[in-house]
Parts: sequence; structure tokens; C-alpha cells
Amino acid sequence: MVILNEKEYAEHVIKHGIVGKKPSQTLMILAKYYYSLGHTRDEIHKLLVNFMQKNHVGFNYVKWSKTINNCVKHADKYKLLEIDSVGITQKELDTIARLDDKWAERLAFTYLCFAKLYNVIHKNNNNWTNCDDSTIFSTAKIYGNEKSRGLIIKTLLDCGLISLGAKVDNINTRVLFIEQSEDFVLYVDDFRNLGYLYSMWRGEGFVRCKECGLIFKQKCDNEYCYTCRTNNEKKQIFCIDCGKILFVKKKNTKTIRCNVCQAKADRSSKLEYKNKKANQQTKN
Amino acid sequence: MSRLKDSVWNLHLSLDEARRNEEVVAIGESTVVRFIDDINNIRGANESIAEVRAKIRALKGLETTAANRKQIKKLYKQLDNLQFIPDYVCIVIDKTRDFHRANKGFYINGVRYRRFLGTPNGVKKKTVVYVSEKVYGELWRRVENGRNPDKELIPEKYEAYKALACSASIPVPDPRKVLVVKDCITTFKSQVLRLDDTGDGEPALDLVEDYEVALNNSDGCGLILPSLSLRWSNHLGQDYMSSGFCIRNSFCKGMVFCFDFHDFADKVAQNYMVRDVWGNEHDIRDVDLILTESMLKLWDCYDSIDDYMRNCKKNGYTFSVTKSCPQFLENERNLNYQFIQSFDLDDNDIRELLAPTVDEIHDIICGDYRKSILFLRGNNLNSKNAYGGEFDFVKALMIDERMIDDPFVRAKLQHMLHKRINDAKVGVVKVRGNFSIVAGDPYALCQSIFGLKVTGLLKGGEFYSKYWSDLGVDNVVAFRAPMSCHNNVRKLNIARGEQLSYWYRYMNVVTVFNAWDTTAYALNGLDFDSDAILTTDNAVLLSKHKELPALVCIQRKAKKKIITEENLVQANINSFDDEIGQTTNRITSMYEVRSKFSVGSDEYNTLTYRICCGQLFQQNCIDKTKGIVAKSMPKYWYDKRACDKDEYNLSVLADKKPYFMCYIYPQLMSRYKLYQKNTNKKSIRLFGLTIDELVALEEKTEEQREFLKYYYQLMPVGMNDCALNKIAKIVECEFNNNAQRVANPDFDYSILKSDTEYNQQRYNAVKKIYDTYVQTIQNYKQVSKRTRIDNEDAVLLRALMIDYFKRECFKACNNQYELTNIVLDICYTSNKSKQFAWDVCGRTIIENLLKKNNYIIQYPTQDEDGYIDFGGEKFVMAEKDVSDGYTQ
Repeated sequence: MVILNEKEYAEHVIKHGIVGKKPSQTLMILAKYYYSLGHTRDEIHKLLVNFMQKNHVGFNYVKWSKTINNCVKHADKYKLLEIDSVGITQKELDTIARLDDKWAERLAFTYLCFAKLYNVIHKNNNNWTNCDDSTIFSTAKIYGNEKSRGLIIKTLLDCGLISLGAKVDNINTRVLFIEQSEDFVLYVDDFRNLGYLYSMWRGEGFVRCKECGLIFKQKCDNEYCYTCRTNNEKKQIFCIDCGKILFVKKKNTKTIRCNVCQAKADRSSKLEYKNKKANQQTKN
Repeated sequence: MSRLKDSVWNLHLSLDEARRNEEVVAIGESTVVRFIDDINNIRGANESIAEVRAKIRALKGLETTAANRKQIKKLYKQLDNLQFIPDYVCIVIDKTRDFHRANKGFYINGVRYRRFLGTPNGVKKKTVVYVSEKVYGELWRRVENGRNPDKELIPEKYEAYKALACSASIPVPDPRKVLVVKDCITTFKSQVLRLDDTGDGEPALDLVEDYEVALNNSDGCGLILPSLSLRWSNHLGQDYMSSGFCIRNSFCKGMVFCFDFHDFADKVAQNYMVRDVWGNEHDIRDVDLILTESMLKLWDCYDSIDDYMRNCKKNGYTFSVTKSCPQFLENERNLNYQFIQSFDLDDNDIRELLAPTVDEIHDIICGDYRKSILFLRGNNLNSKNAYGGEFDFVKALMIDERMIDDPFVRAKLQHMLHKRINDAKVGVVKVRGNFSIVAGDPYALCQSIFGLKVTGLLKGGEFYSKYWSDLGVDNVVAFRAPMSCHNNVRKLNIARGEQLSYWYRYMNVVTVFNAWDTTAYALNGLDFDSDAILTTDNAVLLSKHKELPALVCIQRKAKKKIITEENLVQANINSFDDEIGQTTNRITSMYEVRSKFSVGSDEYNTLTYRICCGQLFQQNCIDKTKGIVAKSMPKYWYDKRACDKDEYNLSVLADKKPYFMCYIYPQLMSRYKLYQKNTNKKSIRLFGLTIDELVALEEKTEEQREFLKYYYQLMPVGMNDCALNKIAKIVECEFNNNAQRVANPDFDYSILKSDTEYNQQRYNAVKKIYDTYVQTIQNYKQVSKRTRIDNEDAVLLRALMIDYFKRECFKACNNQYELTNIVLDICYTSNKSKQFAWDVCGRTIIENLLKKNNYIIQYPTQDEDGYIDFGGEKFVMAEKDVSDGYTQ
């Protein structure tokens, strides 16, 4: 997942207690966020441990200590990203359009966006992208085997739009058609479906989800993406103890807590019951 | 160590927490453990443990109730109290700075700990033993065993001698009288290759025709009288008299071989008075056990044998046995890559060498459950041993043949097959032969003890092995790990004769070495303190063996010092960085590079010289851990940057591990696969062709040729045709289709269940434990993918993990039948691993299966007229009723 605004993301995960699919990535962003707020290393360490204890089921400090220490150690190495969007010029879009091949166009657009993003992150990037293929092709929304994917890249190479690293096993790509001007006609603020974004700009029947902003192919005048449509059939509630957002089925009137808090509540009520019983027995 | 540091050297940790964190380790019962129990006034712990275990077993048969679950929890706690030793802590050292801090003392749960010692194997892995302050003083006094503290010793060696008290061992009855004698040293002249690195530059390698060799024929071994051997064998629960025992006592280590020295005194020496190492006279008829000075390491720290034995008695030391010789030797054994790499094998030789292994794998692939049993349990199943061993899926296969359709069994077989194929790729190849413990000629030792002229019974070049002698084999090839060059492989001539059969009549499973040749030197400095060699009569290895002179490295001696705590701490630090593995791997790489040059070329000869020097550098690595300043392998032999663009050095540079090592090191395999993947992608992007298509292309452009040149040059592994790379490629070709998975047939897992019912609440409780188990396994798999985990460590970790989950499950549901049904319903209704069910409830699953199959098991057993062909032999299926004691 490409996160443009890490500050916003950090505030979101703290508020809703989301560890995410890649906890180490979340921890690194949180470490950078706390560092940007002026916390010391010790404080960051404590805050990260607290966050995990609260939100990661089955958290074991001993097994996570190496990762947490690593995040704390590197908190000051990289700046917290706060990028609103990446701008694309008309000339760049025209160069892509000249390819006249749907898949090659989508890929060229994706490479362009990533190269521009890395240019913003690292000043000396020189239009290189070192993203792995799976990220590039999944965001470009191009499917196929290694050979068919490779042949699309060959098209871009042959057209002189990109170049590759010199070493035989270096597959980093340099984008050669980036314009230095700032007359942007398109602003990319969401790196989830770049291929669809390009197709939408070309007017190919793609729309943004009204709920989450994800671009998807519109069928039957749908205004929401698949996930939001499914979520809409559920309702959103807040855990009465910790405030975490929960999605439950519409008819569910029983759930009031998240799993972690419910387990805690179960334990305390069990204990209460036991004490009550013990008290009764002593009275008898 | 970081855990202690994080807690400011005052850690609070409960046993349960430590178990969850995988911070509990299992240790064998050693002299130190017995001392700690004694100091803590713990007597009869083993009996109490057995009693608690019996109670737990009984509870597992009862209905699950709150009271029973409470009781089982209580019993597990009792078991912990009996088994857990809080006084003994193993600390893994991250940084030397922290090690110094830890040696000032630290606290765990309020108890102060102090450095006790570092065992040789432990310090290699940067692990040091600390004990609680409460037992430290008394333990230290006992382990020191009243030795003369003013005697100068080598600290590294002293630390290793002290660590002998940490070897897992079983105490045995005291002998009547112990005699410590001088070692039997023989001198003779022989042709050797002398390696000397005392000068500047590369080591000098000289062929010396008449090198004066002084051989210690009793290095690390002594003798035991048959009567005492029988007594000890009985004590250890063996139904045979052992050929020898590996023993421990205070500062004492080595093998004692069964030899009738009373008979020798009667018939050969005709004298009963002998002198010990201190110069005192003894009547041999009073002696049961003879130790040599190389066994009793600190003999000169005592005034006499009586002084030593008195101190042993005072401090609670007794003789104990770490291992004893088996009754029979195995008939088949696997080679490893070190043994094969030095042989010059062509494709036909390799195919012949691989044939038994390949045939065995083909036999298992066919999916016949009977052959799977043979593969997993060996060819020697009979009514006595068929039902032994663990309660695992192999036993289940013997009970019910429908188990072959069980998805777990199929996955397990597939995994084992995959492992066997991968093992074969790295030279784990089946040959006829076995590992046997080696003894110096005991007859020669007796001659030396009685002051007779030392001749021994075996002449130079002769060896005694009852196993090979009985088979009528005259020559075998012998290997001993670690080995690096062909000079380390020896062909042994098996000697026969009445005299030999008479005097070595109790040494049935031992290979006896003569006292008159350099075989012990050749086998990388073999001694007789329980070192074992692999001997085989494999035709390929015998025919391809070249007789080469032994390598003799000029040895340096470490400085002796008065032992102080500072010296010992420094000794530990010296041993932390063990480079021997790296050196051995570099030698293997040299074989791979050498294979691209023709025999006799300059490059070939240079690499042969460098390979020979490998033994010297291995020795130097060991010396470094003893604090000796020794040279390392020259950097330009294995590091490109150190070659200074010298073309010749670059051409013989061994900077890559050979291809076959990908199957040993997961990280190397990942690097190789990534390289292949990326170069393939690049080739498609540049030329529209995959690498294979590009290689096969007849007319290549200049750019394509350039690409391929760098493709081969930058390959992260060496792809030349050395013997092991050839083996890996042949095995790959033979079994490259094995990866295809066959869909699982339908399997009704109710055959594993009983009629007992359970409720949802208990199901949920066990499910929670199962989820934690799945998470733990996933984490472990991620770690094991990235790093090579030592086999022993993996087994230990797994055993502790299973024990933890088993306990948790029985705490949630004490009835074993109920628990088994729950666990089976959890595991067999999804695609997730079923290992949990077999780990936690294997015993009950087997019991359920037996009940449904009338307690009958079926197993394949050897029969000349058999109808099952496996490994070149014939088998029939036999039946056995196991209704008596089926759960034992």
C-alpha cells in the first residue's frame, strides 16, 4: 500500500486502533509521527508498545521487541511523508496517449506516477522507480504472466519512454518522459488503482466510489465500490469501551464491544460470578 | 541478553510467560543438575515426576468437570516445580560489552545470577551458563573438586574440562579400583605432507619422506574389565554387554573399551604389578577400570589416584556414562557432501552411487502405503520393534490402511519425500556401511602398561572390525567429519585372525586402529574419546579412492596461566566468533572452481594446494578459540576485492558457494531464485525472450552475447561441474515432476474419533488455543525461511512448544477422548494444518484406531519369498496383536 500522507494515516490508525496487514509498516509510520511531535526515543518506544498491547491480539513484547526497537532507532532517519498529490502535465499525458495501446498506456502512466512520487520523496531520485513488479502491475491493473507483462515493458522500452538499470539483474526502471514544467492537468492523490485513474481520465467508464474514493469500473450505475457496497449492508458501531469502529450486520443488536474488550468483559463478569458464588457459600 | 538489558538487569518473568516467549530450554540430567538438586536438598525428583505424570494420565481418562480441570492445572504446576531449575540460566550474548556487564551480576525474579561456565558447544553459539548466587559457591567448590589451584593451565581448555560436568549422563556403580596410566605413544617413520605457516606469505606444503611420527595410541581411551562392563550394562538397562562406554567424571572424559586385562596379565605379561601415572605400584587384579592420562585431563593437579577419588567422593562426583556402544551396527548409512566432494566422479560413477537412493525414492513415489512404512520405519521391522516409537501417523498406517487417504498423512509423506529428494541433491546418499566408534589398539596399551615392548596385534595398514570381517569384506573406505581434502579419506584393510578374534572378543561394534600408521592423522586428527568413522564397502568409492599421504600441520601451543575469572571470561569471548564453518565452505567452493580446469593445469594445481591448506586453516580457527594468534586463510583466495585485479588470482577465486548449497542454505536459495527471476524478467524486457530461449538461440546479437556473459559472471552461486553440482542436477532431472500435487481423495476422519460428546464452550476454548498455535507456527515458518536453524535446536524448540500447547489443551478439557474429538473437528474441517491434532492427541487417535481395528497392526517384514519389492529386498505383510500394553 502506498501512503502519501503518513501524518493523516498515523492519526487515523491511532484513533481507530488499526494495526493493518503489515504491522511493521504501521509501527514505522507511527515512530516517525511521534518523532515529528517531538517525543524522545524512550517515549516513542513506550507509545509503540502501548499501541500494540491495545490493538494487536496476542501481542508478545519479546517477539516484537526487535521490530519495535528497529522502528524507534530509525524514527529520525526518514521524514514523515505529507504529500497531498502528484501532478501530471498535459504533455506527459499526450506522450502516453501516443502509444495507442491500452495496457502500455496504463503501465506508462503508473511508472510516471511512481517516478514522480519518488522524486518528491528523494530529491536526487532522477526519475527512477524501484517498486517491485507486483505493486506496479497491481496498481496499473494489468494482469497476465511474466512474459506478457515483460513484453508490455519492452514496448515502452522500444518507444524510448523508459530505460532499465545497467546490471543484468537490475530491473529498476527510469522514466524518460517526465516534464519539468508545473502546468499540471491531473493530480494523483490516491495510488490504489492508477491504471483505472488513467482510463477514467480517458473517459472509459470508470468512476470514483462516493464512500472511499476508490476508482472502479461502473456497472449498472453503481456509485459505490464492491467493498463499500458490502459494508453498506452492514452498520458501523463504536466499541463502548475503547471506541474502535466496528462493522456489524444490520440486524445485529447484541454486539457492543470489539473482540478484545469483549474478552476482557467476559473475564471480569466470570470473576464477579465466581466471587458471588464464593460469598454465597461462605454465608451458607 | 537484550531482554536483561532492557529490564535494566533486573528481569521479572513467570514460567508461563517464559514458555510463551520460547525462553525455556530443556537440558539433560548432568552432574551439575544433580549437584544443584543436592544443594537444594531435592531427593527422588524422578520418582515424584513419574508419580505426577501417572496422576495426570489418570485424569485424562475422567470426565471433563471444573474440579478435574482444576486438578489437572494443579498437577501441571506441581510438574513444573519438580522439573524447572530456576538456579540454572543460559544467556545468549549479543555484545561483548553487555557480557562484561552481565558478569557483574544480574537479577531474574529477584534472584542474583553469576557466570558459571561456557560449554564448548554453547560458546560457539554465544551462550554462557549462569547460576544463582545461592548455589554458586557450593557448585563452584564441587566442580573444582579440590584440584591444585596453583597449577598453570590453558584457560580455554580448563573451561572445556569444567564443562564436562554439564554433559547429560547417567551415573553408574563405582568400580573397585581405578588405575590411571601413561598414554601409549608409538614412534615410526612415514611419508607425510607437512603444512607450515610459520613463515611469511602462503603456507609451505612439503612432502616429507621419513617424517618422525609420534602417535598416541590411547588418546582419550582406556580399558574396562568385562565384569564391570556387564555390571554397567545391566545398570543402564541393556540386555547385552556393551563394547565400550563414553564416560565422565571430574575432569575426566573418554571411551573405555571392554578388554580383559587380567587375562593379558595372566597369559602375556605374567606379572600383576603395574605403575600408575604418579609412579605408584598397583596390583592389576584389584583394578576394574584403566584410565589414561589423556582421559583424566587434570591428573597432575592431584597427588595420587586416592587423592583424586577422595575428592570425587567428598564432592559427590561419580563415574557416569554419556553413551554406550550399541549391540549391533547399522547396515546402511547416508554419506554427506564433505565425504563425496573430494572424489573425482564421472556421470556413470555418480549414477551408480545414487542408484540405491534413487530407487528408494521411486519406490515411495508410487504411493503404496506398505512401502511408505518401510521408508519411514526402515527395513528391519519385526514383531519386537514394529509397534515401538512415537504415536504418529506411521503407526496409524500400520493399523488402518485407509489412513493413506488422510490429507495429513499424504501431506506428511509428500513433505518427507520432498525432503529426501532435497537431501539427495546435497549428497545425502545411501550406502552399505555404518558409523562405528574407533579404539586405539588395546593390546598395545596393555603392553605399554606392563612395560613390555609395544608391538600391538595390528600391523601398519591393518584394522579390526568384526562387522566387516564377518561379512567377508577385505577393504573399506573410512571417512570422518569434518574433512576437507582427499588426504582425509583412507582405505582400511580389514585384518582377521584367531589372536585378533580372541583379544578383541568383547569389541564387537568397534573399529580398532593399529598403532603404526598415520590413519588417525589423516582422518583430521582423530582421537579415541568416542570419535566415530563411517566405513563403507561401496564399489564406486573404493575404486575411485586415491591413497595420499596424511597432512601434518605444525601445531602451536597456547600459553598456560593460573586460572582466574578474568582469564575464563576472556576464554569465552575468544570462542564466540567461530569461523570454522566459513573456512570449510570456502574449501567446498574451491572444489567447484577447480572442476572447470583440466587436471595438471596450473590453476588445478593451485586450487589443490589451497584445498590441502584448508585443513591447516581449520586447525587455525580452532587455535584462535584457544587464544593462540594464528593466521587466517589469505583473503585473495575468496574475496574479489583483495585480488587487486590480478587475473590469475581472479581465475582461481572461490568467492561463491556451489549451486548445490542452495539446498542447505535457505537464504542462498532465495538469492539464487531472485537472481534467476530478475535476469529472466530483464531478458524478456530487453529481447522478448526468456533466459532459456536466449541461451538456446542460435544466432545471437552482440548485445545478447554480452548479456549472457554477465548473466553467468554475476550468478550468486558457482555452477561448474563439481561432483556435488552434478549430483544435484542429476537428482533434479530424475525427480523434477514430483512437485505436481495430486488432489486429496475423500477421507472420512470419523475413523479417528471416539463416541464421546463435547459441548460448544469447550470447543471454543480449544479453538482459541489452536488459533494461537497456528499463529506461532506461521511465525516460526517465516523465521526458518530466512535462516538455517540447527536441527537439534529445532527439535528441542518443537518439543517444548508441543508440550506447552498440550498442557493448555488439557487444562481446557481434561478428558482425552473429548479433547481428541474437538481437536479433530477443528483440524479436519478446514484446509489448515492437521499437525496440531497429531501433536496434542496422537496417542488417543492411535488408541481410537486400534479399538476400531481389534488391536491388530500390520507391518512389512523381510521374507525371501515376499511380494513387496523395496530397496532391492522382498517383504511380506505380517500381523501383530497389540492389545497388551498398546498405550505404552
